[in-house]
Order: sequence, then structure tokens, then C-alpha cells
Amino acid sequence: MADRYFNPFQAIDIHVPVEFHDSVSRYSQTGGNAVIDQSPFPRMVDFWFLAVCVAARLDLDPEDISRYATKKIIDGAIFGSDPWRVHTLMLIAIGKTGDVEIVSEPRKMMALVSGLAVAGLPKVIEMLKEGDAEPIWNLSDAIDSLLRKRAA
Amino acid sequence: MKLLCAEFQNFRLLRDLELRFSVDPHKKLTVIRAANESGKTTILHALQWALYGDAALPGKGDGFRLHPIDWSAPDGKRVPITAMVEFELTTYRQIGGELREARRRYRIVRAAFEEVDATARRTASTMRLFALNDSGASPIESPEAFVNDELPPELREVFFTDGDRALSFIEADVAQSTKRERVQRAIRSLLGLGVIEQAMKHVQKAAADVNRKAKQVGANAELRNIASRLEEIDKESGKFEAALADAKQQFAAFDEKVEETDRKISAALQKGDKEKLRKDLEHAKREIKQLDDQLAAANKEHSALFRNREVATELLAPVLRRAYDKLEELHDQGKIPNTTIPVLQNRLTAEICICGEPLVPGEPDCDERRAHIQKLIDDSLRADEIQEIITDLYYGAKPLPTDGNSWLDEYKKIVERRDGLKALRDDGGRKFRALEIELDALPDTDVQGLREARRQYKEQRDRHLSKSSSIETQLLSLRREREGLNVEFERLLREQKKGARILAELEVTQDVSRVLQSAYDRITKEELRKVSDLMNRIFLEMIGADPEQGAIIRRAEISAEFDIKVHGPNDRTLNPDRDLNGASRRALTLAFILALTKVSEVEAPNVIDTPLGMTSGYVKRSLLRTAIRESAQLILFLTHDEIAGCEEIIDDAAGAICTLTNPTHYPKMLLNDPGSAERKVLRCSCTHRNDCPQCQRRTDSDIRPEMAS
Amino acid sequence: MPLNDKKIISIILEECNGVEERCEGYCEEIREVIADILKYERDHRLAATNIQQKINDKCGAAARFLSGKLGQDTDTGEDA
Repeated sequence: MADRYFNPFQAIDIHVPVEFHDSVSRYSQTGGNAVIDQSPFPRMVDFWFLAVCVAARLDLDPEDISRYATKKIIDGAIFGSDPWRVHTLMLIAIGKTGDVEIVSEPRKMMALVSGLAVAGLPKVIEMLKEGDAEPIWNLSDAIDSLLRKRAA
Repeated sequence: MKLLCAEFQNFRLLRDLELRFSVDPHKKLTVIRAANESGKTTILHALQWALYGDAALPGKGDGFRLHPIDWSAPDGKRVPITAMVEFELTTYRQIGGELREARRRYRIVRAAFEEVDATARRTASTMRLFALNDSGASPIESPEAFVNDELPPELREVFFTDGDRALSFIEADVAQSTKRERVQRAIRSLLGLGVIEQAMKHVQKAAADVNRKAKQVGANAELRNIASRLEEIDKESGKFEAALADAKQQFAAFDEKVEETDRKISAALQKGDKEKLRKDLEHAKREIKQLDDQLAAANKEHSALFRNREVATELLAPVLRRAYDKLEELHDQGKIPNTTIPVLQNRLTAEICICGEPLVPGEPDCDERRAHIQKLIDDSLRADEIQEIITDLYYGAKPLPTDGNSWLDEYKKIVERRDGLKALRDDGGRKFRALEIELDALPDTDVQGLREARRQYKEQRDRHLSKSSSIETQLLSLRREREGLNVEFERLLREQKKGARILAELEVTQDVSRVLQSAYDRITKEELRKVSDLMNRIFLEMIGADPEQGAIIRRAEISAEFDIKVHGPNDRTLNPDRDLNGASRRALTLAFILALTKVSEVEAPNVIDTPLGMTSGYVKRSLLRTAIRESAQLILFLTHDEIAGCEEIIDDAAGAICTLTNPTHYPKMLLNDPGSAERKVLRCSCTHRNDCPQCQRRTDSDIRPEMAS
Repeated sequence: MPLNDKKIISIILEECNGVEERCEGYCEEIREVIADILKYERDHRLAATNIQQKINDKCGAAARFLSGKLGQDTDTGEDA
């Protein structure tokens, strides 16, 4: 079935609230800042995706993104290169709603995960800033401890 | 020669100074007591300037100011500088088979004018020489030739020695050939070898003239042929000898250059090899580049940690598990996979139902069953869109839920890798910087270029050495041929009518040549040996009680090649400049000078500035005692410290003592105001044992702190 | 040269003892020739002289002395 790979988010743009856009850009290497230690994320979508994961991990309620003025960071076609992300987002949608049929409604799924991203972005920004070292180390340490909490 | 007295006007610190030297054969020592900066070295320069002119000044007098530095303009803008020296010469003449001694006194006066400005331009000095007698002073023509003859410039360093300077006969900073040349020149000059050489040349020329005459005495063709050949041999020999002297000179010059280049290379290498450092720096740079690349790759890997699947799946593990459980549930319910339609379609095609009933089209029962199955297919198709997505998801997301810790493991590895590389990079950076600093600190010496220059100099040097050997062989062969021809020549001359006179002339010139040659050989061999032995004796006596040096020095000698050598235990050769301490080096040079003067039986002064510096105790006293004993006239410039401990020796040996004072030393070092603020040397007749108000110095305890500052 | 007149002269005089006595008084003659040559050399150092000629003449005179003593001098006037 992998050969019949399907990206429901193909035609949907990914947005972040305007207030977080600068941070997303600053900590991403495609945002014009090439120093990896200062900008740990290869792309803005990686930042966005981690925010979704962190929010889900912390069991945060998704924010209602429609209440925010947003700015597009990229369109959903980006997931064409990472099928596991599509699956992950769909599973998050299922997990969060408990409704399997949500998979047939890509916009609803995107609204949900984008809401999670909005909830997760300030957390990730905090992780990047919190600490004495460069953002990459602060973030690494934060994720390390987040994962260990589960392990413990 | 003995120095009688000297007077100097406006020669640096010596604005107006008169000195008298002892000529008493029983009190040979003259002591000029002077603290530092009180004109000792200036007097040494002034005496030499009087005798030899600007060539004897430091740097041959170029840019060397002579007038007093504090000369004031009202005294005139051109400063007259004069130096006068009176000396006594003893000559010996053979009169009626006896040697007669004659003593004559002379006065030499040198004068120059110098401009009082930054250039200190000086007129060429003029020298006048006077023979002194009861009726007055009669001027002598060509005084330069006279002085050159009486006091050859090559002996300047024998007669005038600055104890503090590197000692030119043994110093390490010049080539062996240069030191050899200096020792040889001093010995040849003092032993009069130059005069004998000149005489030999002239007598040989006289013999050649006799040969020419022989060609004209008769018709004997053979005699004429031999005379011609002898003449040719003499001409050839002359050319070869000139070429040999030139080759030897060239050899010495290139040897000096090789030595000088060696010193430059070794100095540069001591500080560091610039070429090697550059290579090391390049290597360090390449290493840093590699480490930087590896670090960049590690950073990228680190960055990739935030976009990889593990970070998502491990963070989302609870959510994903929950969602996937739902899919599993559907699967368990048979809703996944969505295989209904293909199975039903397969049954219709096969015309037999799953239950075994026929599904043949056209038959009433079968058609009914087929219609039912087709309806089931149609229903399924409606639900298919969702089904398909979920089925894809079920199979595609199967590996996502995880309980693993692979992100943490990967992160740990990256931390270790980055830390390791960072440490290496820091090391590399430090190494690079250290090399840069080392390289920056190096003088811009091209060691490679110097090595190439050295190779070329050495090649040239060796070429001249080989040329010398080849010329020497040719000369030897010519000499042998000459000897053979001479025998034949004499035989033929005897047969000639007019040959007897020529033969007699030939015999006379040959006999004279032989005497001169044997005297020359004897002086070079025997007298050199005597100088060597006496130098050894004096040297060992001087340093005899120095336990430090006594243990390593066994003897000193002058080799047949004119090298001053020092031997240690087991006849190991020591390097005078490196293996000897300051006192021993001083003693060795003084021993050589005294021995050479003594063996040549030349009556000459030894004027030595600070001879006892760097010595103390027994060695100091022994050095002084020996120098007094071996010298014909010893004039020493001594500091108060040098005198300390040697007072009794000076009591016994000194025929003249005076003290020099620099008035500008008041009030720091002088007790009383000498009444002159000018920088000039004042003389008083105080001896090594007493002081007067002019020369009385403060002792250390007298010096108040504010004065010492 | 006068630096060590005494030394050089005494050595040279000693070396003259080894000269073959070709005729009576020959050694003494050679001793004088050499003493004079050394004097010429000394004078020449102080002021250039025609030293070669002087030495040639000196050797010639000694040769005349020798050949005269040996009774061989048949043409004394030739090189006068």
C-alpha cells in the first residue's frame, strides 16, 4: 500500500500565527540564518512539526487557529517527501478526536494539528531560549528531559 | 719600543690629559687607576689613533666622534684634536761582528679638526714625527713608513688589548682561517719573517739576473738553453706563487663566508626554521579545515535530530499508540484491510459463491444471487474512500508507534562526537595560533636561501683549495727541475772561459738564499715552538689555581697551522671560546701576547684595558704577576675593584701610578665637588693606596638612597 | 724590522756558520752581504730605494771576492 502513497494535505497551506513567524524563521536555517547552533531547524516546517509533537506530547489543547492572524510558511506538498509525517499527523488527528473518519477531512485534520502547533510553538520557543548555551543545545536538553520523563 | 709619555687634547673625554709611563726595567708596571666611564678605553683609542690614525678607531673611525660631547659653541665650532706620544726605540746593528745597541727617542703628534655638529665631520688627520735629542726635536720625513716599520699595524692588537672585548685570536665568531691568519700575521710580523721573505725574493731575483748573464757568456748552445729554461722556470714559478697566494687568499675569504653563513643559519635555526614553521602552519591549517568540515557535518546531523522520525514518534508515542489502537480495532473487526470488493468480484467472475452455490448468469437463482452480490459491491464502493485511506494509514503507520529510546541514543552519540571534534578543533586552533606567533617572531631570514649560499661558498672554497694543491704540486715539480738544471748549468759554466765569475755570483746568491731560507725555517719552526711552549707555561701559571678550569685544562699550544689550541684530559681539544671561562680566555690571550713579545725579544709595550675583569683571588694575582714578569713594559688600566687584592704586587712592580677621575660622577660616586661640571678626565697622582679630595669616591655605605636613584 | 733586529740578526749569523767556506774569508763575506741586505730591506721599508740593484751589486761584489780568491776572475772589468 505504500506504493499508493497519498498526501491529503497536498493542497493545504501551513500557517503559523504572525506573532510566532519571526521566531520560526529565526530558528530555521531557511530563514536566512545559517549558523546551525543558533538555528537548529533545517526548515520552518520542521519547527512547526516539532511544535505539533510537543503540544501533543504535553497533551495541550489545540488552539483555534482561526482566531489568529496567520502567515503561511509553506504548503502541504512539503509532506510529499516525508510520508511518515502524513501518517503521524493523521494518527494525531485520530488520537486527539477519537474519530477515525476524520481522515477523510484533510482541512479538519490540518486545523486540528495547526491548533496544536499554535499551542506548542511558545513551548518550543521557550525550550530554545531556556538555558545558558546556544539554542540547539537548549532545545536538545529540553527534548532529552521531555523524553526521559516518559521513560521514567 | 717603550712608551714614555702621552698627551691628549679634546679627544672625547680627554680634554687635556698628560700621562707618564714607567720605563724603569725594574719597575715595568704603569697603573692607571680609573673607575668605569673615566676614560680608560678612550685612552686606549687615543694612543692607537696617535700611532695608526683613523684606521685604529672603532669602525675605522666612520661616524666616530672625537671631540668632547659637551663642547660648547663659544669655544669654537671647529674643535682642534691632538694626540701626542713620546716613545723610545732600541735598535741593534752589527758592527764589526758585534751587535751594538742604540736608543733613540721620538715624538709623534697627530692632529685633526672636527666640526661641532651632528655630522662631526673631521679633516684628515696629519701626523708629524720628530727625533728627540739633546738639542731639540728634528722632524722625520715619511713618518707613516717609519711607524709602519716600527709598530706594524698587524701588531696593534698585540700591543693594545681591550680586556673586555672578544679576544680576536681565539674568538668563536670568526672562521678558523681568519683566526689562523691573525695569529700567523702577528707571529710573522713580530718574528720578522716578512723582512726575510722580502730579502729572499730580492736575492732570488739577483740569481735570475745571473742566469740571464750566463746566456751571454759563450756560444755554448746547451748552456744558453739551460739558462733560458731556468729563466722560464723562474718566471713560471713567480706566476704560480702569485696564483697560489691568490688561491689561498680566496680560500680564506670563502672559508670566512662559509663560517659566517653557518653562523647566520644556526642563529636563524636557533630561533626556529621559518620554512619548517610555514609547512607546519599549512599542515595545521589543513587539519583545522578537516575538523571544521567534520564539525559542520556533525552540526548538520545534530540539526537533523529535530526533523527526524524518531523525535516525532518518541515524543508522540502515547498519542500515536492511542490512535493506532483504534486502527487495530478496525482491523480486528475485519474492516481493514478493505478486501470485500475484490473477493466478491472474484466470486462473480468465478460464477461460484463463497458458500458453494452456483452464480451462473442467466439462471434465475443465480441471477438473484448475483444481483445481491453486486449490491454488496456497490455499497462497499461508497464506503471505499474512507476505507482506502484508513487501510493505507493502517499499513503505512504501522512502524510509527514506538517505545524505543533511539533519539536519546542518537543525541548522546552526537554530543560525544561534537564534543570530541570541538576539543580537537580547539587544540588545532591553539596550535595554529602558537605557530603563527612563533613565525611572526622570527626574523625574516631565508634559511633555504642561506643554505644555498653556503653550498655555493663551500664549492668555491673547495675549488680554491684544490687549485692551491695543484699549484703547489706544479711548483714542487718546477723546483725539482730547477735543481737538476742548476747542477748541469754549473757544470757547463765551469767549462766556459768567462763562466767562473758567473758561477761565483750564482754560488753567492745561492748561499745567501740558503742562509735566509734556513733562518726562515728555523724561525717558523723553532721560534713558533718557543712561543707555543712559553704561552703554555704562562697560561697554566695564570690559571693554575683555578679549580674549575684547572680540572679541565691540561695544556695550550700553537699548532704548525697557527691555531691556538687548548687541550683537556686525554688530549681532548677544547674550544677556547666555549669551554673556557672568561678569566681563562683572558689569560690565554694575554699568555699568547706576552709569549710572542717575549720570544721575539722585541722590546714592546703591552697596554691592556681592564685585564683583570672577570678574575678574582689567586687567578687574578697570578695573572698580574705573570704579566708583569713577562712584559717589557706593562701599562694597565685598572678599576678599583681590579686593584683590590693586588696592592702588594703593584707596590713592588709599579714605576708609575696615577688616578683618573670623571667630575660628572659627583655627587653620586665622588665624595667631593671637583669644581668642574665638564665631562673631562682629571688626573691626580694618587696611587692605588691613597685618595685625594679630587678622586675620593663614595663607598657603598656612603651612597644615600636618593643619590643612588 | 728593528722590532727584532737583534733576534733576526743573531739567528741569521748563526745560520751563516753552515755556509761552505768556498775560499778563505768567504763565510765572513756572506755574513756581511746578508747583514747589508737586511739593512737595505730596512731602508727600503722606510723610503723606496733601488733595492734590487743594490742587492745585485752586493752579490756581485761577493762573487768577485770569491772568484778573485780562487784566481778565476779573468774579466773583472766586464760587468763593472
